[in-house]
Amino acid sequence: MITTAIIHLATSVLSWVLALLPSWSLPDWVDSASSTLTNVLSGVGALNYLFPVGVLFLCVGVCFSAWLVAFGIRIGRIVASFLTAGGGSAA
Amino acid sequence: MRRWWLRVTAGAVVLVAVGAWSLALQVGSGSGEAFALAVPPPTLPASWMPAATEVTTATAVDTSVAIAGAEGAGAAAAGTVCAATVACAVVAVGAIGAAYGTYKLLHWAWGANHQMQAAPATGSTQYTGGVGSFSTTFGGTFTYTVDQVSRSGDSVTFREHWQWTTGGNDNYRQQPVVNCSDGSQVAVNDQAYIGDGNYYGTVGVNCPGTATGQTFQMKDPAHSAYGGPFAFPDVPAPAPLPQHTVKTDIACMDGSGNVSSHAVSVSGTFDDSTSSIPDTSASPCPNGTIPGKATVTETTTGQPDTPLYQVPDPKLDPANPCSAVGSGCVPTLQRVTSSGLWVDDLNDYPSVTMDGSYRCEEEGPATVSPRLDGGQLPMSDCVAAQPSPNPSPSATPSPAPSVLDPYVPKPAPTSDGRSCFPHGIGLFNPIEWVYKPTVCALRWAFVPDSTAVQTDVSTLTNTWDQTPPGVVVTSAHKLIDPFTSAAPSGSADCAGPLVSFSIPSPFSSHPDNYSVAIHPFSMCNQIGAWVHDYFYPLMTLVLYLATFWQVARTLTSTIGLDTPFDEDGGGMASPL
Repeated sequence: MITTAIIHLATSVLSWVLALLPSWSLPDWVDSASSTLTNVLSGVGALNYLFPVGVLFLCVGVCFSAWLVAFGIRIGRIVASFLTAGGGSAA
Repeated sequence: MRRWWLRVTAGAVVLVAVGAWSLALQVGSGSGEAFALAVPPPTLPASWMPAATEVTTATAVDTSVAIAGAEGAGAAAAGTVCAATVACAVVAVGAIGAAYGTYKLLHWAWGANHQMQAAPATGSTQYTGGVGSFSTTFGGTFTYTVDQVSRSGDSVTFREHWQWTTGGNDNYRQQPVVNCSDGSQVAVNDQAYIGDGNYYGTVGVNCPGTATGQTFQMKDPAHSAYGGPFAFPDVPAPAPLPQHTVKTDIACMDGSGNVSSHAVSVSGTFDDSTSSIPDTSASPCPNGTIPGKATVTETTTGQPDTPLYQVPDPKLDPANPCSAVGSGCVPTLQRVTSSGLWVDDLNDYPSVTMDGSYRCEEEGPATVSPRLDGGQLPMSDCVAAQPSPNPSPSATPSPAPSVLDPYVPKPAPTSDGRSCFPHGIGLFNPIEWVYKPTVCALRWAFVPDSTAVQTDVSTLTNTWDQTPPGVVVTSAHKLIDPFTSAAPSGSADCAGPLVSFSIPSPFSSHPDNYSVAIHPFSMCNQIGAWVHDYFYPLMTLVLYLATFWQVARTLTSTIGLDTPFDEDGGGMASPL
């Protein structure tokens, strides 16, 4: 009961804080855009016999992930450059 | 040097990709498949209507009025018919005396049953009164036909004749006898007359067992018909009516939208005399396929088929596994768990007032692995699919607690003394008296209640989903999800994507738009297979190499390494 009470208190406080934010609803265009994207990508996926679309998707995802990793590394280097312990400027 | 190498590599990649794509387009063009049109349902051909075979017989005769009169040289008894061009004096007798009225002979009638004949009585005078008589005159020639026709092979003999003279003309009356093909003889009730060289008549015969037959026309100004027999003209037996069936052909598509088989149903046979088409038993598509366009065709024995109409493609999504026949998908109520997973909710009764922690999902049977998922449905579908409300107290979902509502702890576990206290031989162990109550107390105090925690997390999730950052995250998830779910796996069908559109009909008789569905990039031929076999691995390899090159270039430039992947010695493709 103690753990449950703590979890309840924590979630309640968090919910209360979140409830202070303005209430939004999911815009309608998101669903339509998602549906359109699904249709378009389904059509693109049907081209897999002509072109390795699946491999293309994978490669684009890998490149994007690598870019994100590089972005994190850059941020880390910039933050580290402000430490007195050392580290050079990333700029 | 590196710049040159990079540019050559990039150029080669682009060249290979563009070349393959261009060749694919050239090969694929023109091999598209156009089909389907929405046309109005047809009307039944006129040939299907039952033919009119009924022959009107003269029955509109006042049988209460007998006819008596004179035929030529002698008076005839009542019921005697008058010959052509022979003036007859008729007398109305019998029941006519019972009613005062106006009478006029309109028709001459003779024969019996199906051979009843009639001819208009011209020039008859009108009689008004009660008991009395009137006279009329039959004028003009007449021709009559009968509706009964005999079989081929029957013959007719004019058995007897007699003659009288009227006005200087010779009149003959003959009674034909039909020699039927089965050996019997039938005396025809009709009496044929030949008078003054210009009589034309037709007699009918009816042999035993004969439903249909033929007409026999007597045209014998020289009286040569006498003495017969005269063979009937050989009339071939009527050809059997053509047999029809109605065939329904349903195109069964596979998961790629291509026709994999056909489900054909054929009705029972029927002919033009049938007023209704027999029912056609259903022939479903095999499991795993999607019923598509249906074509209804009328078939006639010995004739080409006649397409009647087409039912357009039902527009089922071939990529949806639940569209397939036999998928067994049903609307299933699901509830989100604390970990964000959606699980089947077999306890709650679906309701359209449920909050976001519930959803209605089109799911396949749980016994089929992997389980089919047809996507989310409106909650009303789950409500409609529920056979009957669950009368148990848990029929309605428990309302989610509001934010910061008072926490009501569960009561301490009530024990019967067996789980939290020693029992049996343990009663004599002092450690048990400490250990078991302690474990019970600690479990009650610190082990969280999963239901309560799930409720708290669900409340927090719902609150989060309504906040601006929650909406942004959800929107991003919805926009990214198609990329992760639509990624093709393996080799797709050679037909390529299906493109559907409508074009206005150029025909005023069929004003509905034509629905056209084509595969513009179809490569289902030998050249396409060759391109696929040789260029597909090459393009795959090029993509992998290009990806490796780009990733290595990005990462090495980020950490400042000077590698052959970096065009300018470092710092390129910086994400910042």
